[in-house]
Amino acid sequence: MPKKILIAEDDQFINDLYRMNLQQAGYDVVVALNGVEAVRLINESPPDLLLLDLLMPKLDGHRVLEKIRSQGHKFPVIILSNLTEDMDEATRMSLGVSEYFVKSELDLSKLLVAVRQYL
Amino acid sequence: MPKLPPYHRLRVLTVILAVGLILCGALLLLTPAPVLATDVLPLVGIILIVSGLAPLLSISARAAEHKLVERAKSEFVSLSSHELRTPLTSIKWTLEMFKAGTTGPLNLMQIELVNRAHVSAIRMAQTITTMLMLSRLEAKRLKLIPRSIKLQELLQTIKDEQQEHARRMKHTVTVVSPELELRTDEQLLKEIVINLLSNAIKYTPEGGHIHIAAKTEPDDTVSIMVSDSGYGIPAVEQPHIFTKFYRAENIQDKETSGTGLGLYLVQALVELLGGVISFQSQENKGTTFTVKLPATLPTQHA
Repeated sequence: MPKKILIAEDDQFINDLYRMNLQQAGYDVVVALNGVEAVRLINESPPDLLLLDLLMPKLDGHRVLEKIRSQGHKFPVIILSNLTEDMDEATRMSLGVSEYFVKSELDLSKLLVAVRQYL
Repeated sequence: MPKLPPYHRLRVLTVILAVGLILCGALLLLTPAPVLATDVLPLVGIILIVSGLAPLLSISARAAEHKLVERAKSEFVSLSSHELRTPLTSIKWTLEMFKAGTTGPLNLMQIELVNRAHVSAIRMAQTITTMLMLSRLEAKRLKLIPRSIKLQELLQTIKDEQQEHARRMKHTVTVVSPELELRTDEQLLKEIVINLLSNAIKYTPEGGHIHIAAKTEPDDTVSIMVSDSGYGIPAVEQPHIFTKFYRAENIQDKETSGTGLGLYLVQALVELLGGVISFQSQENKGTTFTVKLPATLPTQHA
């Protein structure tokens, strides 16, 4: 069974690029275009890994994270945002954030390495 | 005393004069009556005090206004950098897929152009980050997030990111670092080293050598050195290189673009991390920048 990755990201182009690369690497990919959809999809069927954007319509990434953690979901989360990181270590720990990447500074190959590390 | 920009010197002068006026006024008011027995003097004293207070109040009002402007500016840069980064991400990742051959084989000309476009995209991403840091720094909104960092890995990553840029200049870049961990802000440290390395690449004639080295010092600090075999910094320019917008004459003649913000930012960031930066340079021989940082970011800085 391929591992399932949920992508929560509102930019359609970036979403397509994630999907193409992760599917090619053999993962099962599900996409949510906003925070509310992400929470709904997670509750329907939790993924093995969540790639989470922060600035999203309806419910931002921080809220999504708080919500799913309070619901008891424990899968690893990689934040991929174009906002500069402002989470200190304690916040990261309490929300269970495995990695934080600024998208525009990240190589796709590095993302694949990180994904593999948490799956 | 550090060299102050002209408007600062004017402000200091104004404050000194204003305080002087207030003191004179107070002296007149407090002078015992027998010595100066006229009714006018206390009035003159009050006038002096008021005329001293006015510029002081106006200076503090302007300082408050300046703070608001810096804040608004920093918020604007934050927002616009997010809006710039998002499309740039798609462009960069598309180019990476071309480079990786994900989209099928490329011919030589396509490889060449895709590589160059990718270098441009990386440069743009770095410029956005530099702008963002600068505006946060000036608005005093740069938050430090100390974390354990594997130095060797970080230096290698930075080298890899600049590899294509260095290759185009036919430079060799080497990294020698022991496997050591330090506790500091990764983003800031990365920004410091990226700026020093990209300067070294830019300001070295084709086919140069650039060396990045790190070592632990006995006083619980870590030194990171970036050396190049480049144009060097002429002795007369050396006192000014950390000044905002300053660019040395000898590099302005070369075909390189620059804003004069890089080293200004680097020095400020090094200080935020509780460290010091120094350099040695000889014209047409090369330059070595040394950044000395505490191995553990002191908590009062965090």
